[in-house]
Amino acid sequence: MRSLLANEFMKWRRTIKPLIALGMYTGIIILTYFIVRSGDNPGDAETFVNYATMAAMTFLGIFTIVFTAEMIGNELKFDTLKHLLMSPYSRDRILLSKLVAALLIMLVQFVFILAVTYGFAWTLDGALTFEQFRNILLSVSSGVFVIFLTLMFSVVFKSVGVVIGFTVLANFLSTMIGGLLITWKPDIAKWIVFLHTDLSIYYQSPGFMETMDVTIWFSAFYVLIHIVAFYVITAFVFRSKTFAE
Amino acid sequence: MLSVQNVHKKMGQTNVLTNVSFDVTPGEIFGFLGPNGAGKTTTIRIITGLMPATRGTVTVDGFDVSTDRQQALSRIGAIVENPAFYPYLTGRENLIHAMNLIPGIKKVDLNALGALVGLETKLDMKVKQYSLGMKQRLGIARALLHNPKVLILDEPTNGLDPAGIADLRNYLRHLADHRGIAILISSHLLSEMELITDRFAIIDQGQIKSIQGDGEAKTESVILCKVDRKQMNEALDVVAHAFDDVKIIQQSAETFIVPRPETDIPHLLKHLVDRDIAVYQIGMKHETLEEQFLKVTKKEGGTNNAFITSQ
Repeated sequence: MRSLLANEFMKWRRTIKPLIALGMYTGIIILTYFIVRSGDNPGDAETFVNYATMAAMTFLGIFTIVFTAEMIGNELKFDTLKHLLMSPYSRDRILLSKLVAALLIMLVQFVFILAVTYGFAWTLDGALTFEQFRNILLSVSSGVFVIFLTLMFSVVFKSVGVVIGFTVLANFLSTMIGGLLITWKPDIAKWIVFLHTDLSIYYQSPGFMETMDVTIWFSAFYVLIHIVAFYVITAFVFRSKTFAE
Repeated sequence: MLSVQNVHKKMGQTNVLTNVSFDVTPGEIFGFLGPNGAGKTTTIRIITGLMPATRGTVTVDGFDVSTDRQQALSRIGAIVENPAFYPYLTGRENLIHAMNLIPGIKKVDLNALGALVGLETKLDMKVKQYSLGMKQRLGIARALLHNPKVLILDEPTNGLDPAGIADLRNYLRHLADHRGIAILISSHLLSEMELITDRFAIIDQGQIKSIQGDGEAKTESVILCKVDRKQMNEALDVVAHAFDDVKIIQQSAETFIVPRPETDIPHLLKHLVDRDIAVYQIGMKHETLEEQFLKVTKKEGGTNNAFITSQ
């Protein structure tokens, strides 16, 4: 398993995209830093961390979709998937290595964002709270969900572009429809999984989830059921598909 | 070493392979010939575990590919269809990637392996800068990384120049003779296959039409005779009387062939000369692999025309 993970990391870090991603996180955090410090009433460290992580996590979500979609999409594009499938490792093991690699790659970027953000926050006035740090950690749940969703699409569709498109569309439409339903039909809205993926919302906007009369445990369990279902479907398709031209 | 027994593959309602059986022994180079769409690549995909057989078994060194997958596939090195690599990685990184796909592989001297396939100075170049021939060499290096007992090469000479083809031929011969590797080569280049293989099977429409058996001559041989064209009818009459139950084939106005062994040449020559027939040329003509291929597929109503036009 370690050697399979080493392969996935080698393929990831040898493209230009990780550098672009890390550059964009750094850029957006620095931009936020100067915006927060500017003006007559400059913000404190907590305000900066809030805005900087919010902006960087949006980019992290996008890059997570791209990197995960390319894990299988690029194998099909370069026709290298057959070499993975010809290896003595089982298809289940190969798929699992890609999933774990996608999760670790997201976490590496998340840690990078945290390190840069808190590094800059250190130079600002004001105290940093544990509650804020907890909220940032909880927001990672949406990244985990999106990895499972993207991986499922990537074993079904051949093109990386289609996989990215479907994932973004599913996320965007479901959140938009859920946002509308939450006002008029909250008992229906609560079954839209995309409204539950970011668990930090329970602490950042508690009123939003109270409308649907759900708890953080309901959301966590509901998201867990979905990611298990996504993975079962992904493994079934990956195991049974020939992937021949 | 490699045993394919009664393999059957059905896709939808179509029988893609029907009872395909053959064996490749250690140290043998076995050719797998057939027109496009005959079932060569499907057979190779089944052998390499990329596709399950509907029926039948494939074993490598006694391990079944479907039930002992890890044991069987760790004994196979293969290039299927075309050598595919990650273009943004170097040749060396692609080989490291391939090494990581083999559980328990021992440390490999990649420089030595690169030198073996003539890529010693190119291993640190990105694969996107490689020519097709270089990719083919890298593909062979990758297939040999773990000292496989069975090497499967699908169209290995594609993209190689004549010198490269000759090098590859010598190298494969060396691998078979000195390391006892069983090599299965599928190709449409019949002239190349003729030079490189010890035995071969011809597959058409998903069925093995012919397998060259152990100990048999590689190709059939016939006596070719050229006589004065004015005496052709008389010559044919002489041959018919000289040999019982022989099918004489007139090739042109002045040549004919007699499917008899070399030892019958003096007998045939004596009869012709006794009847004062002017003989300009007499000798053995060896049937080429292409002629055998065409004969087998035509006889069975196969699709050899598609094969010919594909070349």
